[in-house]
Amino acid sequence: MTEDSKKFLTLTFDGGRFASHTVPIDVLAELGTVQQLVTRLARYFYFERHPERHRVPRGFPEATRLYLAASEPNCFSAVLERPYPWAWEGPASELSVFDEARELVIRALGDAQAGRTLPEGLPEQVVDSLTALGQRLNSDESLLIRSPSGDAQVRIDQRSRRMLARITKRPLELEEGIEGEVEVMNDAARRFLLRLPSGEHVEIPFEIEHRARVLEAMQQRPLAKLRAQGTLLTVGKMRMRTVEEIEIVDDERAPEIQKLWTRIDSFVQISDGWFDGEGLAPTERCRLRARAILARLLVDGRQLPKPAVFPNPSGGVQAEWVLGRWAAEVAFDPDEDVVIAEAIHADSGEERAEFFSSGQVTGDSTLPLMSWLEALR
Amino acid sequence: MCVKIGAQLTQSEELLLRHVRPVWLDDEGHPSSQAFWPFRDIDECCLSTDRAALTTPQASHQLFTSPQPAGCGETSAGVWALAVSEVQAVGLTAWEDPAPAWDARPANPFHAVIEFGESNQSQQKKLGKRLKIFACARGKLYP
Repeated sequence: MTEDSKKFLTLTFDGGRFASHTVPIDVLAELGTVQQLVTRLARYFYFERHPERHRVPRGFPEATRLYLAASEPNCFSAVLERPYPWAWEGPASELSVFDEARELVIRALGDAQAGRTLPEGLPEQVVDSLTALGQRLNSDESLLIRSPSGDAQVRIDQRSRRMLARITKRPLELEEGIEGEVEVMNDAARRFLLRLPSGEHVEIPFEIEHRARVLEAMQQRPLAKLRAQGTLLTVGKMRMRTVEEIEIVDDERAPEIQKLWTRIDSFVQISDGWFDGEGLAPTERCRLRARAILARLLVDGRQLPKPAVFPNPSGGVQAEWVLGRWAAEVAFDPDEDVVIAEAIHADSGEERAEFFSSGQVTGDSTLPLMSWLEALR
Repeated sequence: MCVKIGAQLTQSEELLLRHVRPVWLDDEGHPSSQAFWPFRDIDECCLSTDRAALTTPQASHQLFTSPQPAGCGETSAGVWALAVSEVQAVGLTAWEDPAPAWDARPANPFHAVIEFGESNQSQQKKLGKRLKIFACARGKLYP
């Protein structure tokens, strides 16, 4: 192919994941976006010159194909070539539409970075491809597009993509994997709401074959997280347009949470009079509250050790920590809506106590309680 | 308040052996503070222990868990200990209290109690938490 073809573009992936001179396979899909962009632009130029025509000439589709001719291990560079057409019926001069397409891609992206509007009359499909370029890059990565001569070049990163999205009034799309907790699942609409660690929510569509996974992730949170890979729209309310993969992922403290849950679940076997004829069985409400809040506490307080958990003779559940010389306890009392936290210093006898309302400490957030416990460490 | 039949223990370094029932031990071997204060009505504000000056953790465990009439027929997940000085540090007192044989239980001449006095349940619970820290720092003595 080399003899019958010519160098068309060089793409250099830089930074982040490319620093080790390799490139993730899925990022190579950017090469497909480049081809799509060049094809759409070349087609646009062709029909602009031949308004009388409704079809492209024979050989045109083949002529737009780009080939990965070489890769250079500096960061990761891909040299793309466009072979001479095998069955091109038109005059050779018209092949310039491909070079013009390339030049316009570089110029349009450069203009957008400089805050200038795109050339007028560009078809919507071309603008779509332009804004899609670079959507698989992470925030610390960039893609340098160069013409063969090196005279024209442009660097694409997420900052330049945001500029382009603003100018073209399109949502910024990112091909990204995001991880979080499934908070709400809407079966009728086949959508669920994923809460990211930052607290932001993303609406994500799901196919029927992924339903069981989404449901399991929702029922097992915060032990289970869900990772979704797809096209993320980040303008306004975040949502995923398309999803390629959905996977359940364990939280890093999943083994500890599982032990905690197994322990609390075992309290269902306890009946009244469980301790030498005294002691009430832990109520279901106490068990469920302890289950949800203590699991969340382990996720919120990564440095906090797993507590020892016991039934309480008053029908509640208590969690105990030894934090240095402090003995700390969190009690879930059957007669109280509040969570009672108490600590005492073994040597000085100094006491601390706090009551957390059912609104302050929940299965979704335990930050005030976590801070209170962390302060004892 | 419980009726004691012996003198107050004053040797600060003497250890008092405390059995922790299985229910007060979690899956990873951490005892609850509940094991270190006399919350039951029958405890009468006194926490049962055995004197390490007179017996060993192993012998104490055997007497406590062996079936009656050779032993007390109780359950124990292990033996922890508190020094008399630690009991005194939290403001409590320890007393020798040898137990005579009764019903089908054998005598326990090594028995002693930590008296929690007139304090209410809330105060006793706090003292139990402090004692737990001392006992946990020393660790389980047997098995």
